[in-house]
Amino acid sequence: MKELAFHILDLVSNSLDAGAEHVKISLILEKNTYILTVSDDGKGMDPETLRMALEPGFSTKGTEGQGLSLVKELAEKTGGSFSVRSKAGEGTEITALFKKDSPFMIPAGKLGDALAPLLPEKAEIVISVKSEKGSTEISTAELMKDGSPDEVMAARKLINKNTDIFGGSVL
Amino acid sequence: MKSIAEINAIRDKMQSQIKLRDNSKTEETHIVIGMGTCGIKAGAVAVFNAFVDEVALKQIAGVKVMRSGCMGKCDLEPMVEVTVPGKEKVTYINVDEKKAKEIIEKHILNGKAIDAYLMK
Repeated sequence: MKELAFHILDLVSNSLDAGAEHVKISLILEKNTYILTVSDDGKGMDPETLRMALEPGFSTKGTEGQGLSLVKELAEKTGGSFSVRSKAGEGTEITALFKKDSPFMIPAGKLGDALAPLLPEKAEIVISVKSEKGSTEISTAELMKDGSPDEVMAARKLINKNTDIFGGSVL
Repeated sequence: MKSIAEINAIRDKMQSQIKLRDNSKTEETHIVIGMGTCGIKAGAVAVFNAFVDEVALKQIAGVKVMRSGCMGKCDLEPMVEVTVPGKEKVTYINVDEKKAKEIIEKHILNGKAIDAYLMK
């Protein structure tokens, strides 16, 4: 079973592959609901591509095309919801709501570990996490200067530690 | 019209410049991990982090660890391409964290590719 952090990796990978220079990940725990938003300034999708992108197996990159459709399926299975707003040339925003106490909810995993492969790239990723326990915001632009393994390892650990406010993992 | 000697001199000069440019491109060792959905499913993220940790902890200079998209052979993932300056690129298949550490030790630090893990 894939942890939620790995679904977030899929979404952010899509953003970077769409040429985004800035990606924002927002994770909010509100009562019984996790609210995940991933927004970017990539090339966006026209209505037809957007419609196809939600179908399992659709990909513009020659990959399996399981990223977006699996997040949608997971959110809906838990009794939450899923939406995408996108416009060609303007970027994409994906919002998924997951119900925490659903038997279909999956382990969160560590966000730093999952996002590490994206850190050497030039795009800025901002991670914002908020719950009753507190909130935090991390920008990779402050952590990454040359994309060296030293930086990636340090940033990965810092993201793991600072997104741990929901207890034991990112959510 | 230039003489043959002049043309040869221009060619030699240009070739040396091209060589210089090529060398500057490959000064770094590149470790590239296939990170398509298939690679991720097969454990490529843990492999990426194992490479990063080994390079950082052993303080190996001049090595970049990067991701690429799907490398096209899903059943052989995680796949890892290693390019050492001045040598041909090699591709490792079905790499795990243990193999990643071994690749760092034997290939990156001691210059000997591990045949048993290479794509044939």
